[in-house]
Amino acid sequence: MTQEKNNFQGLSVHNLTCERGYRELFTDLSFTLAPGEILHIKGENGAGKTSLLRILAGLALPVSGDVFFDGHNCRNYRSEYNEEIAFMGHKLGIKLELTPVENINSYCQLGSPCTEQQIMNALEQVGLYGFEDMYCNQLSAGQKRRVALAQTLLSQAKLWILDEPFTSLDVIGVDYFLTVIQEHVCNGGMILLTTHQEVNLNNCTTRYLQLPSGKVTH
Amino acid sequence: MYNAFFSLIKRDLRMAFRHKSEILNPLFFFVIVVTLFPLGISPDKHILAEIGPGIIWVAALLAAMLSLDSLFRSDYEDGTLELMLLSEHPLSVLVLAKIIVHWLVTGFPIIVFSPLLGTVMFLNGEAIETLMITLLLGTPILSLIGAIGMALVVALKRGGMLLSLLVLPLYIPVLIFSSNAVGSSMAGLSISGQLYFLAAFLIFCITLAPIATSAALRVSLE
Repeated sequence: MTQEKNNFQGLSVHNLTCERGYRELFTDLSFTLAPGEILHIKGENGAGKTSLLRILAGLALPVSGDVFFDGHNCRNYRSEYNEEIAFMGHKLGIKLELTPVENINSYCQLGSPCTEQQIMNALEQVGLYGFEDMYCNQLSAGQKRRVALAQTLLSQAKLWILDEPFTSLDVIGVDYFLTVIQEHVCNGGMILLTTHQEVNLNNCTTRYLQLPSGKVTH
Repeated sequence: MYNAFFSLIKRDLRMAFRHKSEILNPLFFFVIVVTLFPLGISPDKHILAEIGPGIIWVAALLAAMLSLDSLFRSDYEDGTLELMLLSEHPLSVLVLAKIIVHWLVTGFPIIVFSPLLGTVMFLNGEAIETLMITLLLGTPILSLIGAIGMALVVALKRGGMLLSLLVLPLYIPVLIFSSNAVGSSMAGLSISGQLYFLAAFLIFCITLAPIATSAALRVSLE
């Protein structure tokens, strides 16, 4: 197991350039993300944080540059790469006509299937116990965010890509999310996130990527 | 992969039955459009029998096209489409599941109701039988081709008009062969040629349309 961990190379990004409507958002962006690390992407509004995350998730194509996961080019190993990532964007991927349980179940079926019991446990963990049979259009914005968090929890992905994950969560929700993030990182996971809040986590390596300069600081 | 395929079919069917309008609206549209013609043109038996096959088919075509919006729009808006793209399973398989549900929800009820409308248009028994066979072969083609067009315009705010410009010309072969088959069977001629063409076209679309649709979706979501 340790051997396997040592061999795992994480994510590395080479000379990424992104344009949005003839405007260059960032050029020649290169960085690496090792297992057990958090990369917090910072930048002003419109600096290209979401664009960067979408490129890294494989939803958008960069003008030039490559993304490697464990030494393999992600574009050539899309299905294998998709197995390893969990993406939470501005749109949560929650169907309003379905209950949280049905939502999570259909999410899990797209990746790694999970049992009813696991789903109930995850919902209890994110504080949605008692809401599992309500339709999601009766839930508040923060509660929907919690459903999405439960989905991320159940995915067996190594790399979590989180775009403004704390939006509309209350203080307890944010605290819980941070402990979940910490746990994931301590188990050798990797996290890429954008947020305008300060993220202070003990015993985790957090690095900061400043856009558009692309400078990485500790 | 089969799990993902069937669970997606189950999920979409469940949502369609929670939103019954998704099933009923295209069907009502189809019925109303067809019944407008006897009122507007003439209740004469011979005239209606002659134009009947074409009218029923044009109405089916429009009903299928107007219901295409339900195929990807809501998935695009709530982000589930992104999750589908990020699934480890082939996108074309997931897309095929969605197209099958679209056909079950909009195409299949039209087939069930077509004998009634055939009777309204004074088609004889054999022609109604042919009408149902052509609808059975043709409506899946409408869903499959429509999915490509819908995938191309899903990210546009007002893609409705563009969608009909993209999709309707591609529906023309289906319309020609189907209404011709119904007309021929009413005249007592052989219809195997038309049916073979429709069947071949259906198989062609089943094989290639999901691949084209998934490529279009990747472009649209970029």
